[in-house]
Amino acid sequence: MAKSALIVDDSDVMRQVVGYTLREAGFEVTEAGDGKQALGKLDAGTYNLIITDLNMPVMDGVTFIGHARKHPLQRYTPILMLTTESQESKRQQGKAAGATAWMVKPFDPDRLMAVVAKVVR
Amino acid sequence: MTIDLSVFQAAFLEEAREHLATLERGLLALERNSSDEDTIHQVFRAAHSIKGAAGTLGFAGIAGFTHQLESVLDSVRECTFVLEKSDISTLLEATDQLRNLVDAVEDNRSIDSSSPKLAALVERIGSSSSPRGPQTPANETQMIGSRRLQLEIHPKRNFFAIGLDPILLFRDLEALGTLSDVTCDVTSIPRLSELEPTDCNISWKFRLETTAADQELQDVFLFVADDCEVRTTAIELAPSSPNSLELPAVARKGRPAAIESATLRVSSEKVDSLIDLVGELVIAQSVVLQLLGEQAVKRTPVMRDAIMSMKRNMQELQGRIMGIRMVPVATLFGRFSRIVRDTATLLNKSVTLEIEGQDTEIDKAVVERLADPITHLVRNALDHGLETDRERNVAGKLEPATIRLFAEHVAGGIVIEVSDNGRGLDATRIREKAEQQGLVRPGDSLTDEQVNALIFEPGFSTASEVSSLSGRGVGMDVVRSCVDALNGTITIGTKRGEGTTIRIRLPVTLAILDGLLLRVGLFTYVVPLLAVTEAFRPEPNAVCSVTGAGFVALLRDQALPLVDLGVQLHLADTPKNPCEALVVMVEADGRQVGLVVDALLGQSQVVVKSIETHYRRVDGVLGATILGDGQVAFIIDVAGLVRLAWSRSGATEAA
Repeated sequence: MAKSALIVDDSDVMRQVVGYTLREAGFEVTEAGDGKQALGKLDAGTYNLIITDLNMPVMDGVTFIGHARKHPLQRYTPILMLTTESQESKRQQGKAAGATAWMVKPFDPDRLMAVVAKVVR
Repeated sequence: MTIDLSVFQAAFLEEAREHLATLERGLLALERNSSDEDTIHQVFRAAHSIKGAAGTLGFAGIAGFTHQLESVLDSVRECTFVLEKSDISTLLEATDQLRNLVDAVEDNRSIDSSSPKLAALVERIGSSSSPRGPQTPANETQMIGSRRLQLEIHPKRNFFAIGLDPILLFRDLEALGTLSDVTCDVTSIPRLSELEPTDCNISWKFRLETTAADQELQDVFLFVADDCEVRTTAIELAPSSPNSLELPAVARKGRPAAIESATLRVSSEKVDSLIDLVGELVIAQSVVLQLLGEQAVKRTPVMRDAIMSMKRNMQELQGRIMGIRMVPVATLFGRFSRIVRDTATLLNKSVTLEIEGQDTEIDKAVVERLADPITHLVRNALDHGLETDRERNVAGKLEPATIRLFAEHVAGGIVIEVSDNGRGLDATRIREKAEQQGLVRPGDSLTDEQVNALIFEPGFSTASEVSSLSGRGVGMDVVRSCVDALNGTITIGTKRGEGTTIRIRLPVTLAILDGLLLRVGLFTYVVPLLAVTEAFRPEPNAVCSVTGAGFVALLRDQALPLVDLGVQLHLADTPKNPCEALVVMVEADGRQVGLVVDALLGQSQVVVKSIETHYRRVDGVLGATILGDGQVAFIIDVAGLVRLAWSRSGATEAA
């Protein structure tokens, strides 16, 4: 069965790049433009991976991670946060909310897949 | 896996430009209210997004530049730095430069991505608290010989609960070398009755023989460092994450969610081809109806109902598809807050910009082509229309100098106005100037309106001359030709000492046109309905023949130059008697002309087909269309005809 991923990012470009990379790697990809939109997609099933940006309008990534982690279907889903802010505080907030791993932007597809491999079986 | 990221370039450019617009808008808003938290966040996020995407797609220059911008905005966001007006100017300039950098990507040019001013600002703030640069962490590869390590992994209880999986650690470690003597410690697993199945209660010990550098080994544990105790012996494996003393920032109060609608990006060619297709369908439909014959349809109620429903749906479809192309004029007006601010600063005038009706929708193609002429009008109004602050004081004008942009829907079209409350046009001096330049002769009788319209004549005056006049006129002919090309009209309203309003009337779209169908000889022609004022048959005593200029009709005590369409279109050699034909009065640029035609056939919405793209530009003809009966009809270029008629009648009056 194909692995599934949910990508949450307000940037079309980033969603396209990440989505393309994951699809190439055999993932089935669902996209959302902000945390709130993404919340609506959590009921669809347990994802093998959630990738989320942190700085987004409407609902930011940290808040979304908190909700996603509490969602019954996503309790053990690896959540990867994308951020250009490599600041420790932001990362700690994300981790405290339940993020599994993080990735500092910018990244190329190879580096993304290397990180994905660290959190997805 | 190699992926060519250049396919995302177009999307990047489009998105970056949107963010740039947000950035600019936000900075201007901050200039008025520097503490608006929502705006600060928006502006920061715009810079942040550009940086992220640029870095990912490998545009290092843009990423680096935006990083500086972002770090300034970050300090503002964190309230460690308060923006002065001069800082905002610096940031706006940086935004411009960033836009140039983005444009350069599209044109495949490389340009300088340094900004001393911005760098100085970053320096002043002290970038210690700013986010780290976009550069990827250096991959140091130290070559080390093979070594043996003893490792222990003690995951914390909540290990699974944040989506971690110990198996992945082993998979990574295996890739680094040889694992041996792996033992699993299950002694901490509680009795079944106390077991919480989601907790992690096991730990491991093992040996690893590897040539990997410390960094690589640390990378394996990068994400588990906080949730797992890792001990290495044989060599010291530094803890990968120092304890952080930073406290999480206080959660911000819930901000009202921005209204964002889900959108779909589609290339405009796709929409254009839909419009073309639906246009063809509309034509095909009328051909079918004509073939069936009106009587036959009326006699068969079933068929009539089916046809009515088809017509309705077709109309709806056409409307909806046209709607895709419509954008609010806000996309056009938006840029002017910046232009007005910068130009006013340059001219040392304090100017307020008022914008009204920016939700009015108009064809995107029209909006794009309006940008230059409107910019021109706004600059002119700022430069020549508005007085200096002192002059206003002297004149006793209490209200602030204002530029007003206004848009609204009118029947069959849209009106856009650029007004100022400045000094107004001085008809006497414009006339003087025009006489000097030979545009009119002394003694020509012209209304003030006609005099004012002279500023649209090519060759009327130049910048320096107009600045000293209380008028304007820099390249106004260019503005008019832009509006003409859009099948629109332009008029001036002005009052000495009170201001000037330039009014542009445009069709909502270039693709479809409400037309009046006329017959000239054996042929059918279309005149844009927007240009038609009235139609009448003149009384014999109200028409006089003027040597060299054909006929002139007197209508409500005004002389109306008549253009015989048959002669104009080379269908006839001599003009027909207007009293035996019909006169259709059309207007362009505030001037009227009567078109002499054989008959009016009715009103119809026609799909405009360009002749230029298939053949070449034809003077006097705007385009062509296919009528319901399959006949091809030309659409008359009213503005061109009006100008022609007036230049001729002007010459005659003087003769």
